[in-house]
Amino acid sequence: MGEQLLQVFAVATLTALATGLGALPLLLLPAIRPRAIGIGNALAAGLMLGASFGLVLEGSARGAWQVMAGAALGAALIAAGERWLRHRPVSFGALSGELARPAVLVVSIMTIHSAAEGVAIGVCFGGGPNLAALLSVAIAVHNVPEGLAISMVLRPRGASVLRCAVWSVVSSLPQPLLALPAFAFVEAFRAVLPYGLGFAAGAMVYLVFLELLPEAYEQAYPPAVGLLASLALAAMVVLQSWLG
Amino acid sequence: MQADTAMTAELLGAASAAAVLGAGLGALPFRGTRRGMPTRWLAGGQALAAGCMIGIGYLLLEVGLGVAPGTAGAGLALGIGYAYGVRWYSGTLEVDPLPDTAVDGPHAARLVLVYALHAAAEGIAMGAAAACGLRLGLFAIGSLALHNIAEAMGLLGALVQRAGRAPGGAAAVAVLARLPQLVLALLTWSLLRTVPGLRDGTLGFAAGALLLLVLLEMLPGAYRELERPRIAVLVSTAAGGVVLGWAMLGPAGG
Repeated sequence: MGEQLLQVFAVATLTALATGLGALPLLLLPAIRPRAIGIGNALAAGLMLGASFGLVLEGSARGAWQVMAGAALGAALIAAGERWLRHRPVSFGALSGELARPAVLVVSIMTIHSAAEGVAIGVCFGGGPNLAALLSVAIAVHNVPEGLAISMVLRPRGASVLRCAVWSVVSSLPQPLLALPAFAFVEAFRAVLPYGLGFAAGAMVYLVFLELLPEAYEQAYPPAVGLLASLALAAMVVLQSWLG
Repeated sequence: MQADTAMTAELLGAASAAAVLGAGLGALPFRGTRRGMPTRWLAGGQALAAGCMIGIGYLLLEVGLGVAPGTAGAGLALGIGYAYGVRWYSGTLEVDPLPDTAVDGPHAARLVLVYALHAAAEGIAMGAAAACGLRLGLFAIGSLALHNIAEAMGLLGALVQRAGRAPGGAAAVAVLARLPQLVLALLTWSLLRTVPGLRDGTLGFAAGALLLLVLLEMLPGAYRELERPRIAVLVSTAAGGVVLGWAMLGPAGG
């Protein structure tokens, strides 16, 4: 169990660190086009939807009702968390007021988002190594454009590229922190696994429609967003099926 | 999945025809409203319809992937390519199903074409589901019939409020634009009865087309008119409702 916990923690930490890679393009390019972030968000949305399909498929074999109950709880928790954060007075490092609000919102939402992903990683390790490996890769890949999105908000407000990378990684720290109890919870109470799988799927689906897709539509050509998100979803579903 | 009884041509035809006619019910909210339907309501209808389509797409994939993952996966990619290619070839890639400006004659015609092409993909989904058995067929057709009401409101909103057409005439056009559902459902079902080996690929194909249409056509306009949290709630609830409905009414639950 201890070795498995270490493995879960290591994988979840790597997915969190991948978020920091999103700041790197700011070193190479004088200005990042919003379109690139939109494309990244579209790919991430498709990968997460495909991963959610896999979670529901996996969970439904153990109990469809439980999966849907967990999904409703996951979506509700993310909705409540996002709503609560949106109505707080905010400051962010040296920033305050109107300058700070977008930065705090983006980092906060990405942090809530990554909490769900941490739960997903932990629960998926309980569901089997193939699903866990696929989901971890998907989350690590989609963390990169998220890090870019965070950096694109912070950098124009005076943050250095290093600070952008650090905040990007910080926004993903709930992944290793929540992956551990989620994994331990699933291991200890295997009966609640379908609830956990549903929870992760519901949280991810809700976040896709709350954040990733609308941002992608705003930042890139909508038909291209639709096509890329669909193809990413298909790739994820096929990969999961191929690996069984 | 447990064994299901087979669909008949008569039942499939009657159920699909009822689903097509159901689109006319979308006109009811437009009757007796002087100021018309708020566009945010129409956007909400699109989000609900999108969620239904995601749920149906998931169910079709669940069946197809469970039997032949490779074939269903290839069909999924082909379906995405088909739906995108048809929209690109017909020059309707950028036609917004929820226009926010006045609609003239040619624009209205393109809108009707978009809804008809959309209905064709849904007809393939109906036929593929019906080829899997009576329960899945009727469940998919019933879900798409409900979604037709919400989705038709988008076309009706454009024709009545943006093009100045009478609600009755617009409702007739909305029903006509859904006719490909009936035709493609019967054609697909007949084809799959004749060549059963195509079934799993067709399930993936239909799922891919439905998902592409949701992501390419339905959601961009809905996000423009309605707040993100509302869209997220409507899409998630509708998709979850379809999956839960099948868990209750399908072979596992029934």
